Amino acid sequence: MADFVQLLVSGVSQGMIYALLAVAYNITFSTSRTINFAIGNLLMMGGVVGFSLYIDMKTGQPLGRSFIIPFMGVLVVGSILGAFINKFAVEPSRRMKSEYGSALATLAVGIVLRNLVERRWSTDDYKFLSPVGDSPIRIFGAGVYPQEVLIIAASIFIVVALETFKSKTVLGRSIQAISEDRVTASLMGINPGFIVGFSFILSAMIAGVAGLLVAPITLVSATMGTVIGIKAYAVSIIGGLESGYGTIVGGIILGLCEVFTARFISSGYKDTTGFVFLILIILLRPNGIFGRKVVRKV
Amino acid sequence: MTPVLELKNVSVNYGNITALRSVSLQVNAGELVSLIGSNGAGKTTTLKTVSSILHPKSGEIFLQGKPLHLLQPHEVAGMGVAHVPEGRKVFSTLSVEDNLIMGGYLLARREGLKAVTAEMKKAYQLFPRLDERKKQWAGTLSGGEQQMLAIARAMMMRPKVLLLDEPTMGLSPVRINEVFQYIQVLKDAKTTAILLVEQLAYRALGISDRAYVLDQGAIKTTGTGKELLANPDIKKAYLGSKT
Repeated sequence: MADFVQLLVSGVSQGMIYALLAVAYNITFSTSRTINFAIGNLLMMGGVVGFSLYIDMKTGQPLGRSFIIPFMGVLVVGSILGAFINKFAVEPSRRMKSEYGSALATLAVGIVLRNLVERRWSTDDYKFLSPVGDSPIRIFGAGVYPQEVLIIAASIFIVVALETFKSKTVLGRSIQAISEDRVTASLMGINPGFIVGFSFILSAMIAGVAGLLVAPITLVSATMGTVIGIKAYAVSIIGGLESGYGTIVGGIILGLCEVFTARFISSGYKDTTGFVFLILIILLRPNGIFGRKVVRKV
Repeated sequence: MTPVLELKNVSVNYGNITALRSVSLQVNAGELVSLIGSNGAGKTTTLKTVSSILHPKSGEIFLQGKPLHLLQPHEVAGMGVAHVPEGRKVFSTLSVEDNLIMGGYLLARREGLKAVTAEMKKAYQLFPRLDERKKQWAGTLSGGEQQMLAIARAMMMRPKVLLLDEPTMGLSPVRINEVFQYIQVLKDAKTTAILLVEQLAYRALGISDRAYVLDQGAIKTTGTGKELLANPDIKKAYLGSKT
């Protein structure tokens, strides 16, 4: 039982990070129809920026600042990077009318970010001491890290807040309108360029926060976002590329698959189950579990 | 008096193909002007050019004397042009109410959500069926209801000029009558000038103040609705058996 609870919590918390990144993929996909492959490295930037503002690199001890400072720092850096990617990677490749141009351009920005961090910051891995403590708390006899609980709570909050924003505010609804029909939305006076730019900023901020959240349970390094970014892309497809709550389910499925495989089969096969699951989903439900079929009348 | 909408010698190309040749037309305040002509005559192209979905190769378009032809579609909308596109184009995954709110996007930014709610109330008074279905996905509405929604959504913008592209396309005769009744109501309200593109030329001329006949991308004739209805050439070419 204790074992099970422990696996459950760590699987779900891992899954929520995938879900957050998947949401970040979804927002920009829905407005611009391009996949932002820099997302994984935006998560890394969140981890690195948060670490630099919170922990003394030499001693590995906290600088004694409030956690608000790294949090705000991550939001600021995230929004700058999001705007940058849209302006200098996505928009120019859109003008070139190349089908894969923007995907490659975002991939390139991601690689540049990773190399910049490796050259200017460090190539090592660093331990990010959790702001909520690093000693496990006992739940049903299981040892659960407070950071894992924080991840789950914060991620649910972010996804719910985002879905509420999209369905209850004028700006949020216009994201959906642009996503469904860009030309018609512009006839209502909605500026597609503004909405796309906004979605890139929002998406990069979410990816950065995901990096800040995951850093204490992994390690901070220039490569921390690479694999996570690919897996989260899988989750965004599992959940349905335009479904907000679908990504939570997809993320949790992948997170649980991983921890249970690692525990009961072998940690070497950890990554396999998730991708097997992804292939099954693509075969059986190409729109994702929650991808909705659009009803149209002529 | 400057017309609300004025096109001066507008030419539009699709690649090498000329779609509009030096089209000039005017819509005055409170007027209902219709644009009739056969398939491929350039009616939809004219509306798309006004709302800047297409850009003219040459010529100028003015709204109350201010140029529109150099703007982007969202800026044209911001100037007061509401375009109900061909095929209705409601946001099918948004609710009826959210579709109306999207129509009120500019109003919300300029005057706040209260103005949008007030405008929405007016829309529901004119189209009670939309009120009954406001929580439904717009994609689940019937064709006639979607057309009402598309018109109501455009009216949320409090436009200076309303462009209606084939509002009766694909509808049953009963719904077609309804749509013409609503257009009449909008015309009588005199809050906006209307430029109507319609396949059902006979019906369109019947309710129009003036009309232009478009043929192969150029204006062929113009006159009041009544004049054109009585014109034997027009009768033969566009009004079918009603001679």
